[in-house]
Amino acid sequence: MWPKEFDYVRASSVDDAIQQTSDNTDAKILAGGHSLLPAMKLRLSEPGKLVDISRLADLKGISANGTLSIGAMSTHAEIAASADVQQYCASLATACGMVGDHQVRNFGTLGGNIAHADPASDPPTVLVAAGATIHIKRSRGERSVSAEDFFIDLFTTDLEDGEVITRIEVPNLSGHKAAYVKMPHPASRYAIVGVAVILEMDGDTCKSARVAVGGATVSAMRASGAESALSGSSLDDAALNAAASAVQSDISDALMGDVSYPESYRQAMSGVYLKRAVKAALG
Amino acid sequence: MELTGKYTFEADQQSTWDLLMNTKAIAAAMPGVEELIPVEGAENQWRAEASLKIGAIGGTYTGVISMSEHDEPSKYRLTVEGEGQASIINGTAVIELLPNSDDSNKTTIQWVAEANISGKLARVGQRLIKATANMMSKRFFSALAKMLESDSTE
Repeated sequence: MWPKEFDYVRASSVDDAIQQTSDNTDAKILAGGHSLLPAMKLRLSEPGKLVDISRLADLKGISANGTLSIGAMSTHAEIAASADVQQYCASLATACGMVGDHQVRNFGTLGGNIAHADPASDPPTVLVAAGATIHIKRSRGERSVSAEDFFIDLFTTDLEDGEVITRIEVPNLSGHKAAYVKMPHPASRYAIVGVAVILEMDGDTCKSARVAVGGATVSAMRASGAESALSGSSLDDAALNAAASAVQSDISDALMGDVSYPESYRQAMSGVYLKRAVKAALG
Repeated sequence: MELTGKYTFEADQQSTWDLLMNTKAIAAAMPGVEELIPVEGAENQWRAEASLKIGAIGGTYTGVISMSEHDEPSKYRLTVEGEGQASIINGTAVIELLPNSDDSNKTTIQWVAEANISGKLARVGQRLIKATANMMSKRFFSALAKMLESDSTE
């Protein structure tokens, strides 16, 4: 299948990309292209111009210096293999290692992934649980937004036309117990339900917990009821059951479903996968 | 595919009804729609063009919207027949306006729709159709609700 004819330019800098997309509403930013290009080949997306930012050096690289800073054009494969990511936020490495297949992970980027905001994608859920910050550049300067506020609805983010994600900042969670687990769709491997938990432990007691859900919901979102149920508990069966039922009400207004996996099923599974995530985090 | 939903307006039943019958308001609230053009020779039927963008997917859809079975001010039927992006979208919804028993300045709109989507969108977007339809309904009704708010402050 062939896309409709389009112009292609390689942006010379982030500012150049911002200018080229601000002037032209028919233009789209091209990152790894592994969501955009398939849509274009199906002619479900027909931008007149692609502005390629995938080779911009400013947007590449991963560094760990108090917090983890991931350039927006880092590929899923680079993040999954990064020793810094594994040390600071191992569950992000896990999630990035679950995206698509080898080809997708070698080209697809974290910046492109979150800008696309597929509800069934894995990294957004971990970024929300981890309390990551998305750094964005625009013609008027720079701004940042928490991952929790970034993902708004189905394929809908806080990102506006003429803005470019520059990097994703993740706090140092090396002292925490964390996990991301999902129920993959048997054919596509997209998350039917994905749950990320980050637990701050004090001996056997959970001092605080952060929980996020994706796949089952229209966008990755925090589950604050489940967090309260886990915090202060010893993560025994009673606490896990309470958290499993809390997470189901946390997401009840944002559920999505399809023919094979309706809302009610995904809702029930969010409880099951929350328990699995906590157990996986405790190892 | 059945779609259901509800939305509460901060207005009495009659004002909510008037708003839902106001084609200018409807056109402004429908995502991506510029205007509703009355179909010649037909009553309560309009032609519309919508350009929609959801994530990387975007395109132009054309269709006919009609209202029927008016039972003022409590119930009517809204039917949409459209096409775009090598797909055909048909839907019919019964929309009920339920006055709030505690507060006459609140009206809950409840809809039950039967939608059929065939073609490319159905083939490649199956997992997302329902969530997209829900998001569009939410945007439509919240945009209408905003109009009510701005009216009352005038």
